[in-house]
Amino acid sequence: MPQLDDRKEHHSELADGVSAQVPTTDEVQIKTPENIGGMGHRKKRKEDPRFLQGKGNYVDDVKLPGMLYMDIVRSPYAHAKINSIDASAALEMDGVLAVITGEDLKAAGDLHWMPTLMSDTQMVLPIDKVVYYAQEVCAVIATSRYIAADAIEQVFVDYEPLDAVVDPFEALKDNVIVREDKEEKTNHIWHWEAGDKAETDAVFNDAATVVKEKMYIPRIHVSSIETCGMVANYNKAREHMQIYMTSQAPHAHRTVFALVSGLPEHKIQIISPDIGGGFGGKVPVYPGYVICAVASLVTGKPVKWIEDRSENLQADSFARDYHIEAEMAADKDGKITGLRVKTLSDCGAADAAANPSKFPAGLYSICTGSYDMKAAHVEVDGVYTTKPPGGVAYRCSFRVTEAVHMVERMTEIMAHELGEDAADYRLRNFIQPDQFPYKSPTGWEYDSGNYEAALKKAMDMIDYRALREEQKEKRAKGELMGIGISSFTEVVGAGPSKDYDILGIKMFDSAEIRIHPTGKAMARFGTKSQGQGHETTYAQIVAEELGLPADDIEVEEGDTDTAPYGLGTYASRSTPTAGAAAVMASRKIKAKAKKIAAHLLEVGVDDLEWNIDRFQVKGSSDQAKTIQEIAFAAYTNHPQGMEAGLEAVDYYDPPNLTFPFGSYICVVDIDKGTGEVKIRRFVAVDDCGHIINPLIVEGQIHGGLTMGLAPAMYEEIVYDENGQNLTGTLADYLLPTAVESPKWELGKTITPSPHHPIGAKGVGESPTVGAPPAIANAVVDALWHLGVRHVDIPITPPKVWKLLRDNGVTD
Amino acid sequence: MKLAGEYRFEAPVAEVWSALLDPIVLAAVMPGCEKLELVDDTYVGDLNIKVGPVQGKFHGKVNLSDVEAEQGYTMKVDGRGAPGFVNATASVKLTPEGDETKMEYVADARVGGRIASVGQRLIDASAKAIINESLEGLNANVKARANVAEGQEAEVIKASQTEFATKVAKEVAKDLIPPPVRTALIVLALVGIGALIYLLVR
Repeated sequence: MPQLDDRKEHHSELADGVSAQVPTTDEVQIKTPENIGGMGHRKKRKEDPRFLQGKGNYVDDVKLPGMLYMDIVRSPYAHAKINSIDASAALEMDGVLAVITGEDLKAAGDLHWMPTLMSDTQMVLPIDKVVYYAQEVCAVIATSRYIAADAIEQVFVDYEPLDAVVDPFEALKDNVIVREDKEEKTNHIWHWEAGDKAETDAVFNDAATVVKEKMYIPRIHVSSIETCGMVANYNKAREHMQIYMTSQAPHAHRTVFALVSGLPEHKIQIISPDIGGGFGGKVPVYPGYVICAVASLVTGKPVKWIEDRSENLQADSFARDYHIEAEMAADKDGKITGLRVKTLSDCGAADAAANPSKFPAGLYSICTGSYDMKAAHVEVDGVYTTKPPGGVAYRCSFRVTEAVHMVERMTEIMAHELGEDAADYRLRNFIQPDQFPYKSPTGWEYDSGNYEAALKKAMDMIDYRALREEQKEKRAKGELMGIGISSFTEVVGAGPSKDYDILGIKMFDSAEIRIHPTGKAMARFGTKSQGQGHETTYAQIVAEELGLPADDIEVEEGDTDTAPYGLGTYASRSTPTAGAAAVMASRKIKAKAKKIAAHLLEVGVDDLEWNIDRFQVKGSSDQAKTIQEIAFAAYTNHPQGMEAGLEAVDYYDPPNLTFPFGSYICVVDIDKGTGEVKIRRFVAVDDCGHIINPLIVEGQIHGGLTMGLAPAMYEEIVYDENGQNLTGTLADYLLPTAVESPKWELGKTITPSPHHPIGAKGVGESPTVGAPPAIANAVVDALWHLGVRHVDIPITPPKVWKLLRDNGVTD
Repeated sequence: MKLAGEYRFEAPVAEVWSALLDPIVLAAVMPGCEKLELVDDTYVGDLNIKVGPVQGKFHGKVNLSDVEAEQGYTMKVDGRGAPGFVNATASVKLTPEGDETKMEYVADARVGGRIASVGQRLIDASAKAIINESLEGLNANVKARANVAEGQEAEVIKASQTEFATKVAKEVAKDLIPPPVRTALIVLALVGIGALIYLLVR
């Protein structure tokens, strides 16, 4: 692996050389004073004043002179032949300039198809048939948003309905072929496996206990507050395309646009302004983006396209939709020995998941979770159905949510089956602290962990033993109370370039820091915040390293003309990759600053030592130069023969992923009459390594837990047997609000990542991954004595009520 | 979506049968119907449908088959428009009962597009309301027809949009609130209004 070795050499003098395991603590480390505000300070977010005053700048806020508006005609059928499109009535309307069809895109250079991130293909606009409900059929370009919206109702499309195939198991029978454009007439897309099959089968043959369960992780939607949209502004004179776009990965999108459109990449500028939530939904390229860009290219005018809520819910990439069949084996002592999993991945009408190229099922093979076992074997098959394409990582690192839900449910079932306490059972099956770095049976190398510490802390916080006593008493009285645990392991921060790429582009990330003469700084990154608070946390990292006050550092992301190339923000990768790049760039600057300080103090470089914000002569702290003084000298009095200026760029290629973890405990009470599940308490202990800003981490966990509550109890995209979406508005697609959310009680342990330069791990997604199984386990725990072994999420009152009725509790 | 029901017309079967085939009467009684014409063997028309927040014009074709005079027929409806589409098959059976006529209907409808995804919770209620409103309108017309003197033309009684809206609301309430509670709510509301009036005029 020459690349990896190069990287090590390149960074060797900058990295602190930490690679040994660091013991777990629960105190946040603070090394800088409050005025500098480095790591560990609870700094309020720099971005909040503009957001709270309604002064953010989102794509829909962009208004350019002469701007046109686009709206999209969408298919009312899940599967239908298009006989004809009659746009004459629309074109006769005042203010309607054009109607763009698949034929037009074909004529413009075969732009009616585009590649997906998984190297599949997807229609931009159809020519002969539609393959999912709400699919883009054609687009109207008009002088106002209102005219465009009215005009789409005047486009008459003659459809000839075809049979839809909604169920992936049915799709595997190939009675209805979704993708007739493919050479092979089958709905089966790919087969993927991990782990050792023979070894796993052997473990199962020797097992004393085997538990088996089928579960469905339903199709859900990220439903970010801001829908997707674009303003494309093609300047014919400059032959330059400027694009404002809701993008989590502006650089990758620029490259994709260049490759698809044939425009030279230096003539494309993508600006991702403030983003109102991404959660993975703004990683894919949607047909609307392509049509909007083509519309601007053709008209030579700026064109705006903003989805409405229903379009966003119905046509944009979904998440999850995994049909899982899992088996877990244990030996005669009850120790978990193996896991065998078969999964069907419903991809919709194209494999448009947002996974690293080599991972069609993402990082799903992390599914052995926090448990030490001998063997595991995982198989996943991808299937086409007549539903919208997708498979995005909804606030998680590529299918980790599905994996964690499965293993946490299976462990729970095994514990119950063996008659053991769910917490004690986990404690004795965990990978132990001295086993790290731990090689998992499916090939992962967990960098660090201390699962026992996190679970014990959560048990203390919630007074677990007392709750079990209470549960016993309540059960005797016939009341339904459940306690659910989830001790998850995340795998984030993709990733090492040898394994991780998107369409061939390696998944490094970058930072560029420029220190101005007056000691203020500009830092730019290849990632893109969508609410994560990058402007604050990145500044704190630089403050920690260089001693510049965090408030003196302006953080900028999202403009491909100015920011260094990077793969963007998703999969909790910003801190593990760009955060590390910020450290490395800072250390490059520091190395030069040291030389300037030596010149100013007229001493040798080796006589200097760093002290928070200055270089001082060893043993003589009154002889010192602050970073501000050094910055000024870098432009006014730099040593002869040295380049002026004080800036650095770093492209960080992480040596491994990071493995944040945590233990959540949820207590529920179930109403026997209505089946309503009430979450009484929810304790979340997270370990994300060293914490950059506790306030932001807590905010991320609060948001993440609520987004974990959502699929556990509310969210599901539902289709009827004809592929008609039945959850097209927020009246039917349910999101929890503050009213539905319980009080989140947070705790932490800190087990630093041994390979990350500041020992951080990423945290934004842990709670979304960890919360649903804690809730599901609590519900099943309350009902197990009645004979209930499993309930699929979302756990709605009708579902629970039916279980209660079927088991004779209610009538 | 499956719909079934029966209705009693206060007119002899011959009147009901002829009204059921008369596009002018049908157009008048169907809420939202803008136009209905008989072209060859097919009824062609435009219907404005409002389901919750979704409304728009459907252009539809209705074909009748298995037509047996004064006994019934099967109709196939194919409606399309910007808000979506409706495909339905319905069979209608008439039985004379003295001076009155009993109608039984069974329909199986497939509704798709925006009207289904956005108006999902209101589709059943709206469909029932459209059917009830149409049948009541039809009844009013056949009653009027049966009562006009020989040689005179009966006036066509048109559907009212306000009445239709009230009917939809009623159907929704039926789905959402169980009957005893509904009665209790109405009683409560009446008591409340009474108390208010008493307080105001005291």
